[in-house]
Amino acid sequence: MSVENINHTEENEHLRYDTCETVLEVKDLVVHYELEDETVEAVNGISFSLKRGQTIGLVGETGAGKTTTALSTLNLLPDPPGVIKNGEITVCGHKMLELKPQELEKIRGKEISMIFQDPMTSLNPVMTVGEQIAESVRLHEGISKKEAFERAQEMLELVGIPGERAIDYPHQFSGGMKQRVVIAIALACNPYVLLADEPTTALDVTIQAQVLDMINDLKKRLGTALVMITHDLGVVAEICDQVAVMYAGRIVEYGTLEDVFAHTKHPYTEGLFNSLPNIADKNAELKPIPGLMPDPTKLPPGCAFAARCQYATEACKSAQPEPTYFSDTHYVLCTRYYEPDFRLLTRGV
Amino acid sequence: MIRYIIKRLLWLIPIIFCVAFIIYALIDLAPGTILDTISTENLSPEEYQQLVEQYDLDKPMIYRYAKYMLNLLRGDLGRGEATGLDVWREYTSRFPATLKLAIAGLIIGVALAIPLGIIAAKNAGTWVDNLVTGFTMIGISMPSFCLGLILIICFSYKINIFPAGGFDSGIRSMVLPAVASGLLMAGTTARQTRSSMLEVMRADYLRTARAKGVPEKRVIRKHALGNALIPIITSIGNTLAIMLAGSAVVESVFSWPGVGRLTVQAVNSRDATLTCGCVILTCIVFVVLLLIVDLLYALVDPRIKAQYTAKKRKGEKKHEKS
Amino acid sequence: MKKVIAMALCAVLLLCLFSACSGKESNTPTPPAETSPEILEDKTTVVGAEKQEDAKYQESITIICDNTQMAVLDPASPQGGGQGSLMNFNCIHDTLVENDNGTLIPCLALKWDVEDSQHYTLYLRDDIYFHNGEKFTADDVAFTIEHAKAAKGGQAFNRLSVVDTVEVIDDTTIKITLNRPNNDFLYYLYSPVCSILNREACEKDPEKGPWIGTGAWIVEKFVSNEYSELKVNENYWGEIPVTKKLRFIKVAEEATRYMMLMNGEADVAFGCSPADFDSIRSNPEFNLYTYVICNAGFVGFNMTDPLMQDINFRKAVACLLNRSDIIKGTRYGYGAAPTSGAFWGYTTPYKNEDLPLQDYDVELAKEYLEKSKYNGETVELCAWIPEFKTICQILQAELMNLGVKAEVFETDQAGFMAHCKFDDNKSQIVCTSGGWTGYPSSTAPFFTKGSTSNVASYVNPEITELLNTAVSTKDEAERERCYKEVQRLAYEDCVYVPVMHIQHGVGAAKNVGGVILTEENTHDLSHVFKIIS
Repeated sequence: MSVENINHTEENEHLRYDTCETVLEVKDLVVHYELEDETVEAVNGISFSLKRGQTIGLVGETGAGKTTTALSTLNLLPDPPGVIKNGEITVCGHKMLELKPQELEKIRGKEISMIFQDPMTSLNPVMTVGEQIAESVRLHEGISKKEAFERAQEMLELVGIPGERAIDYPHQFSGGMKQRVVIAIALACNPYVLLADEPTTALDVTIQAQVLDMINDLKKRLGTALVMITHDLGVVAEICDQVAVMYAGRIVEYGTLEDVFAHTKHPYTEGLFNSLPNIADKNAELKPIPGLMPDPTKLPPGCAFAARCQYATEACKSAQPEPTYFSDTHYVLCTRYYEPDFRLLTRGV
Repeated sequence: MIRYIIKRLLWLIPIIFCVAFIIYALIDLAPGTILDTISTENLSPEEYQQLVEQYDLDKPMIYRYAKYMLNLLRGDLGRGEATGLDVWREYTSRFPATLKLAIAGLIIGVALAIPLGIIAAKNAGTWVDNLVTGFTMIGISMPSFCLGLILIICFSYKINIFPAGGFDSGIRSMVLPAVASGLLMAGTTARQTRSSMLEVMRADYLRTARAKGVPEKRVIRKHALGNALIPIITSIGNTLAIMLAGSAVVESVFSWPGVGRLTVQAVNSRDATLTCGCVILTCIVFVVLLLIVDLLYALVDPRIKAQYTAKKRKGEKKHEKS
Repeated sequence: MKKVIAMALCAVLLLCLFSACSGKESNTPTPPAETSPEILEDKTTVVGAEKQEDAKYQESITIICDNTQMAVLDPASPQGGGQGSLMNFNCIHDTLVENDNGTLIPCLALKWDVEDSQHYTLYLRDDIYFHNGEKFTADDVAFTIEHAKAAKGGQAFNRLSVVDTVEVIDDTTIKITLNRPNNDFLYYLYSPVCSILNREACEKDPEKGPWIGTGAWIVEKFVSNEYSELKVNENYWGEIPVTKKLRFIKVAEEATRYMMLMNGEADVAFGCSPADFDSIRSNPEFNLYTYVICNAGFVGFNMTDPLMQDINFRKAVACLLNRSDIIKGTRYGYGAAPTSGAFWGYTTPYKNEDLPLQDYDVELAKEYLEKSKYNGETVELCAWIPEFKTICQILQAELMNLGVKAEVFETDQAGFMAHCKFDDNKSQIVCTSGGWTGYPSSTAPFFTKGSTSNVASYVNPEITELLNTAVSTKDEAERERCYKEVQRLAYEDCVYVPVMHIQHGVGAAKNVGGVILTEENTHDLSHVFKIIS
């Protein structure tokens, strides 16, 4: 489904982008959840950066720390119990972890937005969708109620919903349409970066494709950088330029789409690809990765994947691996790669 | 919406019939009749019998009930059997006093409860929360006559700021009784606000709002509270009903001339007409109050407004399945 | 750490619970500091400050009444017999005669002729006007009697039902014929319930008509069972009060009455709890005036109940009344023990002092109990007045000590009256208060067949005979002999055993005066005043 070309002053919008090249930069982020009896080490030293217009996919299983990373970027962690122990996050030059709440509120929604997983609960049931979009616009651009409402209607049209429906309440929309409204809210003020936390996971497969298409399209037209958090490699393949594979709070493999898909290096990434069912071969057995992600409150001293890794050695279990670079863009965190001849068995070159 | 209101008000008719029946039955079952509250020493047996016939005490309760209902259908609430006073006039002359007290209690209760509930929810688990919870427990478990007497002792007797007898002499005399009855409202509503807010605080749409950059104060005030209001309004409605019922106690303690006292005195004199009249009129007030509460929901939650205004089309049920 | 604190708190709370369940010792009230506060010796006494020359008086006085009925301001109404109502009537109306310490003095009636105990002629004043301007005539007296006789069940009816015919001779003369001789009749007329009403006013407006009287005060506002507001009648035929406004308010809670007196919201307070009497007395700003009224509190036995018909059982119970403990326990010491064993009003004339009061004697009780027919069944004690409920509990404990199973049945007034109906008496032992007045024939209801006061369902033909003689004879000595004999017979039968006479108290601010207290609880506050400088 394609989005109609509406009259959007894109020229003026693009002017803004000249002011920053790197829209998002995360350096050595460490986040813990401090509960009464134990501490969950959710994110353990993550770094990545995003230039304008780029798309990075954060891939990993549940519990890898993807949502936590995204929330930290907006400084929206539930506090207590979430605590950012270390790290620097910069959004278009603003140091997110040092700003005061009032300043943060100005940046959220305007320069960086986030959409969440479950559209059914993401919208306020007692406000019309138009009001919810308009609220964001009025907060950041200070225009009149009437103008904000018109803009809301425009945004709805942009995401493929008739503008007259701006006076309807969330309960009058289906799941897919709600998610579009959520996207409309997030993009209403044309942010530099959009964080999308598994935006299609809760939707039907056919709607998934529509919404993904729409996100992709909007991203191109508005020039928004995108952080796509997902566990679905297929989604990554569709829209991401770069990929970061996360495991137990660390990025275990980072590279461009081609790097990670065609030249897979990390055993975990290999396991992810191998666990995809092969539609051509109906008789093949499924190959899941054995075991479970380690308990984030009791992470082992060495590589967190060692217990499940078929290539693991004693050295793996004793110390954290340092990044091994294969090119400017591609690195991996694996102790085995200290050996120059180590290769994965089933993937990559 | 109008149809909904009318439907609700029509329920009043069966309610009144049932309530009147119950009152007559209860007064009949209670030991003693109205003739036991007057001294019948010097009455000859014929004169005593005359009195019995005058009050229809020789006929079964159903007869008296039927007579009362017939009068009621003509709009006549009758005269108190014991006092001969006109029921409607006695009730309406006292009703403003009870209403004033109820509204004052409501205002104090809600004005205390909602901020406290929000504070407790925001600081859930800390000493602030525990303090507020402790206060609400006192509000709920303290019987109002006990609280009333304590208030009089503290603020009227030891420190003479407010009068002890409420004779409707302005705002000052209303403070203590309003606090006594409002504290119960404050307690229950604060607890409801707290739990409602806690639930809403976890809601995803608050996260969306924050991610939009909505200032925290506005998140709480407009987004959180707006949604939390529905169970809070229910709680306020229920507690208002309880306050109205318990007004007899507060009115007795403070000598506040309201309808609660009137009802109690009527029961003590085994005066079925007056008791019935008071209870029925209070019932009507009740029903109207609950209706207003329900209409408030529609104002606050559009999903409920849709329910009220939905027209049931013929054959709709069949189509739903296919 | 949190768990430890929580456990400690729980332990502390549990300890508090246990300590609260300790013995009865902590609950007995401390007896009053001095003994024997002022007890009225006269039938009517003026208490309070004296009027002074050139004194400035407070314009408005507020009086708190007790919690009895003040539903209708009609002297004849059965719902208007409570203390508050009576005090209102004293202010708003006048009666034909007044009581000055046992002697009848003229009021609206100037003089009277008594032909025999059955025919009375009254000569009335000629210069009295009602609040509505109508002149007071004999016709109004006739109307008052008609009105009272129509309002069956009221105190006025009880007094005036004995009137057979009324003949208005002229505007100032009226002849009353009773249906049977009664030499106490004129004494009935001083009660405020026999206040004279105006025919024109009452026939025009049956509800507000009875508010029109000839008295020193005019009704401004009246809210049933809540309060009444009166303003002074500048055209009053007698002494015009110095106070300009009166307010009688009914306060439901005892404690509130006391506090309202203390913080100045009320100037006079009736019905305070005896627990507060001592604080009022010890407070230099206030005075407490105590008085014992005629009423007698007693224990009665249902003579239609098989066990109660056994005189040995009745005598056993009579020996278990520890009166000093009862007075201390129920009235904090503010009560008077009966002066003799006779069942009689405290100050009612012709009390038989020769009958010894049965003292508290457990051994004697045991003897009587053994002789009695008691066979292990449970005995019921019934009461509705709070103090008497406590007496029931005390008696219950005493009976249990002797091995008699007893249970207490508490109810309200209507329930009590239904329980002890003369024709269908379901009670066994009752503890209640009897309505006595200053004239001896008020004893009759307790022995009359069908009377609501006869909670013992007791009829003794000798007593009935004596009572009839007493009201019809003109011979004083004969009257005395009859009444004393009635008391002796009742005493021997041990049907009504006197327990105590309640000592009431009225608290008033120091500079309040002009309060006239009567032994029948029909206090006259029409001339109350408060000096403010």
